[in-house]
Amino acid sequence: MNAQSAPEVPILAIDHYQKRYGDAVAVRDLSLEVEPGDIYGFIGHNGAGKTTLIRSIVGVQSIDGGNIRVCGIDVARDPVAAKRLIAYVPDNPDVYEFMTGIQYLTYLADIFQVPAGVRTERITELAERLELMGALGDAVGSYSHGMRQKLVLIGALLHEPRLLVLDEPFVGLDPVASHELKLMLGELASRGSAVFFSSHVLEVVEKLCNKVAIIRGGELLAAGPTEQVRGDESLEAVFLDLVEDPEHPSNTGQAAQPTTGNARPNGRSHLKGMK
Amino acid sequence: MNGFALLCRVQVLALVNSLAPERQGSKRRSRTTRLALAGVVAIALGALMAAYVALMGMGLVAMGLTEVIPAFALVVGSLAGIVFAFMKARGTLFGLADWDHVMSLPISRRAVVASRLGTVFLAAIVLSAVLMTPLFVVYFLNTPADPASIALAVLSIPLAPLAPVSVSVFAAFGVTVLTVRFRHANIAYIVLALAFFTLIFVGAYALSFSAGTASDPAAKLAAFGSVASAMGAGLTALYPPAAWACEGIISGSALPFVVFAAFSLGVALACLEIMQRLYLPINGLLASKGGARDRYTAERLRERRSGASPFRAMMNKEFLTLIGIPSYAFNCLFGYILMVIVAVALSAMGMRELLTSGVVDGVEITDEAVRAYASRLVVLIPWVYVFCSGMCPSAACSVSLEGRAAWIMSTAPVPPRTILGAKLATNALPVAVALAISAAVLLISGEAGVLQALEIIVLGFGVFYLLVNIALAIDATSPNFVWNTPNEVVKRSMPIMVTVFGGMAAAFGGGFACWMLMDTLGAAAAGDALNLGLGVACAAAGHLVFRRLCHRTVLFTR
Repeated sequence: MNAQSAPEVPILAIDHYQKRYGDAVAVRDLSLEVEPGDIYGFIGHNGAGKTTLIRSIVGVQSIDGGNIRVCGIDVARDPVAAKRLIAYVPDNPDVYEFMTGIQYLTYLADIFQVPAGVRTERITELAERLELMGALGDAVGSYSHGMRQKLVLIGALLHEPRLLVLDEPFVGLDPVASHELKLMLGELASRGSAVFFSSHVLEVVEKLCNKVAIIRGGELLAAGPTEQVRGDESLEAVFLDLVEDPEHPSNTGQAAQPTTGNARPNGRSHLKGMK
Repeated sequence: MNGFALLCRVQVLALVNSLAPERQGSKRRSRTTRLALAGVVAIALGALMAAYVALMGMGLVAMGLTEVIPAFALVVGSLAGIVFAFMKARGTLFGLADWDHVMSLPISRRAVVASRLGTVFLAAIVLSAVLMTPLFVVYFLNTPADPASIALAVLSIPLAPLAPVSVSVFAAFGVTVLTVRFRHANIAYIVLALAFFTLIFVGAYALSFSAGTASDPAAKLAAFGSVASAMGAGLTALYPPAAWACEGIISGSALPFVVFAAFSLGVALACLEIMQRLYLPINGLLASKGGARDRYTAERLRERRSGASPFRAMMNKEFLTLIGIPSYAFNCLFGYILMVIVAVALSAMGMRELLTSGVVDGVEITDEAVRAYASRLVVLIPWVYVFCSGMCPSAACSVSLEGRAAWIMSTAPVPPRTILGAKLATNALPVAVALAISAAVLLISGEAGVLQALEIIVLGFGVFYLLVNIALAIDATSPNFVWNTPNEVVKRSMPIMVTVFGGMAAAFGGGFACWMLMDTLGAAAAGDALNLGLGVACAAAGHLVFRRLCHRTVLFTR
């Protein structure tokens, strides 16, 4: 999972990001960086702002403050160039129901301009690993939730993204597919790309991710290498400790200070500093 | 019974809400306003329909055919709900979006089916009331009003649509069972349904003009009268229950009416019983999306041809959307068929013969007037095509139609110009082709000259292009991705209204302006110049709207 080389520019750089929905601030002043080879877990309770941040990273919604860069490309200023490097797996795998699985994958391959030979090879490999090959000729409307999830995952990996962003990717997957997905994420990261995903399954994040960020009420509570964030405790214990801490500014309703999680080895100490 | 009442309430609320569907983030007050507005529009449309049939009833009275009115009312009331029931059965009775939820409720299957079938019947009864009441009012104003006859006439209103609607539900069931077994079930369903609608349209058209070949107005009236009389007799012969009800209403005799009532109620109850027995098999079949599927293999994948450009891929996807969502196809494809039907009809019957038939929109046009204005009338044909092209609005709602899968569009590494351009091209290219085919048919048949053929293409396309770009701009700026059924965006959304009603307004307004210009200047050439100039100007304006839209739109999903 280590990067093969150490490029100067991080794959994902979020700098003082802010997002509002009307008067409500969904995420305030959040900064973090994801390096090549990272598998970055992003955890928080429901409504913490995970999906909000993810949707801004992939260019599905606007940004109200700060900026987000993917391999040095500003997502807001040059969205088309940034999107070429990103793949997104949303929390609900809603796909055009009137298409067959193979029509959907061919459509994505055309959109991302994946050469014909390469796409055939990748679809075959990924579909066989996720056991979806036999169903590719069927309409997506007939797929179960898990099958749609697999289809979206295959589509996301087709163009070998530099940054793979996933929102709750393990929901609905069977154990075999879940295991394969973990392997695939590791393989992608080992090729120099980065994976950034949100999850409620803390055990998976703890085992799979080399870095982790914890968000609550739109503010980053901690970020850094997984070992440093959790210290001697389990990630679950640290998470519960953090989100239930009554003295934390996000829990007292005080104005938030700028929060940073630049994935440098400052996890636990950074978190203590916040206290 | 409590469960049944609750289900009925849900169905009625769904029917009402479908007039003004909930939108993401909309406030309660704005929803109430939209519902009220939709109610006002529905009442206005109902009033128009009622006024129209009342005028037809008065026409029959003027022709001395007052006794035909009850038969006419019963036939109109019986048939009114057929198309609605055919369209609504799929989605209400089978192919449900909430199938799992409904079947997990502790309510009997019969109650579930009864509540859903009841909604279809209720809508048909409302429609029959709108159409039959004015006819009966006209009838009883012109015949001695017998209380028994009036009572039976009132009773016939809810009873008349029961049997035909039941048959229509069976027909929808049959077509669904037939098509769901095909690999391309949606295409089969769309083709069969469009053929059905075309048949109804062509039939009505042929019937309207069947009495109009005589040139003398008195002869025309007599011919129309005899046709109306024959129609009344013929239709009651085709549908005997209408004859039984008529006999009851005219004579005030209870027995034939009781037979009619028993028949209507019997068929409706049989429909309920049969549908509740078939409820599980048909929905199971639809849930499994048809019969046996081919297992896809890596070999088949390798046989696939090479890729396409993003623009072409997006166009292919738009075409797949069109044939993949039946209501979208019905709403957007009939305009193309209409264009060709109009060209073939004008060529087959001859424009002058049609115009002198005396039944065009109820306006009397003398032969002398036609001869005098023939060259100018030809100039109005392109405006008919403005009307038709407005009925092909597939691009208008195409952004909203992305629905919950809009994230795919929003994360695609292509500029808005490619995305919106593909949507526009998928609509504009077929419109241009249909206009060209129609113009060629009219040119070959000699009904239009080269200039008029060119006007059909330029004006028809120009006005369409402007309207559809305005509609696309509205849709892209304020999309509705959270619809529950595609009908909410393909039938009742603002962009669709802009294109369809904009096309109608442009056709009537522009046609009138064109006529006035020719009348003022005394030359048909003025009309030709206006048509061509306006067509080019509208196309240019449409392109400006599109360019502006592409520069300003980001296509976020929220």
